[in-house]
Amino acid sequence: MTLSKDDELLLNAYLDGELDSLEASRFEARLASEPALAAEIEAYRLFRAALRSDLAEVSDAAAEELETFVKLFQAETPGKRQS
Amino acid sequence: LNVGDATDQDRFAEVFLPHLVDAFRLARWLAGSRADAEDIVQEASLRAFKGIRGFGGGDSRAWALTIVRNTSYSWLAKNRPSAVVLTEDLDQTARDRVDQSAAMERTPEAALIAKVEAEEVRKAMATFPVPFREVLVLREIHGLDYRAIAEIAELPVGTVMSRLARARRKLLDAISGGAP
Repeated sequence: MTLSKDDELLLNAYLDGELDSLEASRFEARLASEPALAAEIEAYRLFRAALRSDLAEVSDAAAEELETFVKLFQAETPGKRQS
Repeated sequence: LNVGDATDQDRFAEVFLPHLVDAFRLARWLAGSRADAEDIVQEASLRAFKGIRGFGGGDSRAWALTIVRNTSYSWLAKNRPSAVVLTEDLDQTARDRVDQSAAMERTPEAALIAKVEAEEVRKAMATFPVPFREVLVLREIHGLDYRAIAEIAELPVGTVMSRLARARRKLLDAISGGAP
């Protein structure tokens, strides 16, 4: 299905927890009565979960390599405090 | 005892250094490579140190990320002018790559999403202009809310919302339609 631009923004804001309680309950009422919208948000939820884990995977791999860099950097940084 | 310098060093260590991994993650996604991200974080760190007196308290993570974000933009503009797209028009740049899938009848996405792999996400993200990558990463990796993202990226909240929505839609289309 193709969402209207407004519904797309609403769906994103709902997923991100950016709606106030009144807006959120209104949107939930629509989800209950509009199967197409409910299917769309389910797709988004799955997608976001996958995206988060994938983004994190890349970041974590980078962060592991980063450890050496951080140590090196902290040793050279102007913020280093000599004892 | 040089009290002034000691204070600057202490503040830098307290304010910026704890966010080095976050800084690297943001730079890594904006720059696209680890080596470039390291350069960016080094430069951002230097800027942060020089500007440490400008930190007026509050959210040190947001302050650090703002510096990294701004450094990323200037670093990329200077060092990767042709490779990195800084345009704010997602359609312009990603059109060729995602239209093929977007134009297709959308298949049941849930089934395809299960096949999403990190490599596909990386490839699709790489086609996005930096302004779209940054809202995605600040939201999904750093877990910031719209207001915090708006402050870091110096955008109205409405623009954060629309970029996030469009970036997700493009990514969803690219990935769910991208399977051969």
